[in-house]
Amino acid sequence: MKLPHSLQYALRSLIPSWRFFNEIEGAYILMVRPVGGAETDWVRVDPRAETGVSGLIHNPSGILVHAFHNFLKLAARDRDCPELQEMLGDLAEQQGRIHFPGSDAFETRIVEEIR
Amino acid sequence: MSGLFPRSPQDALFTVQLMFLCAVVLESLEEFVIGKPGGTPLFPDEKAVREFFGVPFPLDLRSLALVRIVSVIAIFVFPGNPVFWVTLLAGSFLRSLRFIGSLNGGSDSMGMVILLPLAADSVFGNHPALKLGALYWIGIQGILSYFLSGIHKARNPLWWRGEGLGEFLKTSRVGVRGFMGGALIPTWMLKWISMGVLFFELAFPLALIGPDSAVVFLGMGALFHLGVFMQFGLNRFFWIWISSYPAIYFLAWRLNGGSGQT
Repeated sequence: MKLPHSLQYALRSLIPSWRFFNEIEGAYILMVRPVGGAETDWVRVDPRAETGVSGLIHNPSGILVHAFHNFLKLAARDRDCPELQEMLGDLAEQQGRIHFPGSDAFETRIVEEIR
Repeated sequence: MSGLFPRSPQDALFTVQLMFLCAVVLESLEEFVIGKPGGTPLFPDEKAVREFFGVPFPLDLRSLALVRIVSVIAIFVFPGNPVFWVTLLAGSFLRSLRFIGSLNGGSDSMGMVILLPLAADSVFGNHPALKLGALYWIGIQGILSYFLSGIHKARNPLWWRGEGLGEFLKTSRVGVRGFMGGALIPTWMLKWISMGVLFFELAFPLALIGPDSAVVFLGMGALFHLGVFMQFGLNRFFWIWISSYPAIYFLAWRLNGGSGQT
């Protein structure tokens, strides 16, 4: 029996999974361009964190970045979850409007950054 | 210092509670800032999340942060009142739902691991057996968090060769370029750092050999999390993980003949 996606994600917040950095993978990056744009129009739209010693106590930009990347990872891995893909579309649109004011439809790519 | 190295369940639980509640306040203040109106839009969209889980209540991050901060203050003002522990638990769970499982991965997991038994202890009337159970749960999960993480890494040959760590240190992973981000680190050094992380995590259960051994491993653990913060900006891991340390120390002391009165 397969649990509904919503229940799976709710349970995951209660059950610990102690896996950190065990999979060697690149970072997930969200790229957006206006619909019908040129190949060179792809823009990386994920937020960037500020770093510094005071960040040990208070690092709001860091948490924003991590939340963003956690979500991208979920969306990249769980492509058969239509709700997540819809949320990804909303997120891309939200970020796309910031980078391309005046455009209202966007194409999205999640790229795995490998160096 | 006796609070950091507790030898009674009451002291141990009190120290865990104190450190954990401080960590919750730090986290919530960050969330209050990123949730400000007109700031960077949050994701996923709140309405979409409500539909996804079918929950009727608001999942506004600022409100949830406020609920958690007020709960912590109320716990300090009205110690022993379980209502505020339940409120904190509910606020934390809703915050997890808000981010489809977690806001910050492992630190949220550890937060729940600590919060659930503390809330249970408060709700069920501070029963001595429950206090011990809570400490054992937090201590064992704390040890497993390192050990299982080490096991998973050890299954990947890239970690043994140091290549995996090299990739993590070189990339702008999770958007943060840390203190080693641009540096050219020699392969031999990467291999040694990588092996060091593996052995540290795999050997962590040895903290239970005795209180002295626990102090050594917990000290290394604190330095490890400090390094992770400096490289990846993961400040929350530092505070929430060291909140579990008094429970690990107590466990090591208790398993080696310690018998504090409950």
